[in-house]
Amino acid sequence: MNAATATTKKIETPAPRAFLSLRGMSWVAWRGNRTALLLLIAFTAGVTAYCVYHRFGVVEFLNSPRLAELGGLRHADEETISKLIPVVQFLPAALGVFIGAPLLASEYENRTLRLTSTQSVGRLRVVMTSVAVPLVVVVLCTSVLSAALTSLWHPARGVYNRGNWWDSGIFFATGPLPVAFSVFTVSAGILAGAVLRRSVAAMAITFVGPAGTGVVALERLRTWLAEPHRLLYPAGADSPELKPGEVQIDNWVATADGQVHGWGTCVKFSEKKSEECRAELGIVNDAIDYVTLAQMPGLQWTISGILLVMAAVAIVSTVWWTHRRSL
Amino acid sequence: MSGTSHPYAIEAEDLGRKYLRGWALRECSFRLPTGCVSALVGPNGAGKSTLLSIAARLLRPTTGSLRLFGKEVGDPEAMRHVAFVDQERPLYKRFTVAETLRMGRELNPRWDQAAAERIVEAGKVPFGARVGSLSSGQRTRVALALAFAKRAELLLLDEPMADLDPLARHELSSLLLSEAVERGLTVLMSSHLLSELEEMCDHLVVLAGARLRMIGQVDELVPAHRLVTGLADPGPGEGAGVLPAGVAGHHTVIESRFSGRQFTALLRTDRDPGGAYESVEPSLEEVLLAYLRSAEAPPLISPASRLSAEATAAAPHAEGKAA
Repeated sequence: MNAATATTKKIETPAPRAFLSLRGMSWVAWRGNRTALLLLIAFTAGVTAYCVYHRFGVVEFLNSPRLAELGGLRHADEETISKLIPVVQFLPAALGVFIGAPLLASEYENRTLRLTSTQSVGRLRVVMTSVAVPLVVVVLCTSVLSAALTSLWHPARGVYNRGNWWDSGIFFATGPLPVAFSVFTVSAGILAGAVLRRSVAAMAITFVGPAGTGVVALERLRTWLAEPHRLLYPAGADSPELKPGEVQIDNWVATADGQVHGWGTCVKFSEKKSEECRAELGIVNDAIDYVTLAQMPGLQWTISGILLVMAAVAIVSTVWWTHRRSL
Repeated sequence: MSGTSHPYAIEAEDLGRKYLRGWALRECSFRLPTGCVSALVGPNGAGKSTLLSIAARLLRPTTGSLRLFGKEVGDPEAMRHVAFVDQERPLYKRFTVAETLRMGRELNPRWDQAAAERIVEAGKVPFGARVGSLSSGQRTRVALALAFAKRAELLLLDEPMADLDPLARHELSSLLLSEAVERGLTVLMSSHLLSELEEMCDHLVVLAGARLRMIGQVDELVPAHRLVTGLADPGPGEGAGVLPAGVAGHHTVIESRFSGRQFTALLRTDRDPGGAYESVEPSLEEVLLAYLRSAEAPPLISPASRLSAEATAAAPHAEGKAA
């Protein structure tokens, strides 16, 4: 719109509706990030509707005799869940880069934090509200997304990906994890933006750091935190069949009293030398470590707790830094 | 407590701000009476924006303190009494003008929507236009509307007239003066051009080289000086003259220049030096330029602008010599 040629016409600000009865700094924070947050809400609505629609089909199939005939999920249902997992799994990284990092950095770039901080509201409140409003929307949207995918996967948890919840990505895309990871990446992005005061630099740091490295670090953290069950069986015998939802995550060779050695221990060039080695170490068993589906929620909540603590540290650091520094 | 009940809108005591590259403002002690319309003048880099930013709570001072209507600048209560227009007019570019005014309403309890709309309408700025599409003059008008409608007692304006056309400048100057008179507003507005603000202001604060050079009511600053011309005494070297002892010995010389055997000197005195010298009252511009050119001349701080005795004792070095 060309301001110079446009006619002067007063546009009455519409009275806030019940849903968005935002006041004060909350309204400013919402309006300042409206486009990005509305996109996120629309994306959430779309994916949720997709999940709900497919859930009907999955549940119907699971209750039908065809499940026994096929011995697993239909290929189309497998595909649907497999496509949705990375969408929810990697959304937190995108939120950190595109919502978190530019949040305060763009305020610094456009000097608008100087504008809001010189109104009648204290700078502490300005910063806290600017951070809180997008975080609340992110928490709501990722909670809905996670719940939608969880509700699609949960009825089929024993059969989807043959019950392997450890390797399919579903672990990171359901339950509290997408929410906690999103809160962490967005908070870390906000901190990067507050310190660097440049949107592009903050987005790059967030992409490489909390978002990119975070995805890898979460897998490491899961392995480190997992307390697997151990199953011993005679060396050379067929490994025992695990039940649906039980996932083998490691294997060993073991002595009669349960002491384990790496899987490659006593793998020698000749069978004779291998035998001698096994006899010397007393290896008589093979062992597998496995996790059960019952362990999944506990692990998810533990990792989420760690992420939320780190997010809280990032938020407190942001508020402290922004409140202390000159604008 | 109303902010205007305090006799001084701003009281600065040994105020200083240091950056890595050096001092942007130092040893600044003064007070600004409530109700005055003051021009904050100085060359680029003199410390004007630094002083305004400290008063607007955007910068923390490295040394000293600043009180607004008797309250420390860090006191949240002080914020309601101060409105600030930034040099770069920061506004949310994606907001419309109407939304920008709503922002003002949402963030200021004493918001005057009618005043804001009046100022915007006077400039024919469309309410539905996005701020990002406005010209710099229109943006300034919206920023001034935000500041006026806040209903603060102290307006801090950083280069408020810089990008306004003559008509808008005249209109907003009138608005500023009428508001100042009607509501007893105190205004401190900066410019590197005195001529921009001369007609509007009854008070002057001059900064140069990060230090306070001159402060006081315009009608008491100028009469405190005489512009004297006459014959110079022969100096020790060839061709170089010196000020006659009758001039240099009895008065504070702010600036002197020589042209052949003639000298022109700006003296800080309210009486003619007598003798064979021609003495006239200088213009405000002449006084200002003399202080800006002569960094070693003692600063002029009018009695009304000096801090009280106990504050002065705390920062004696900042006061300079009295006029």
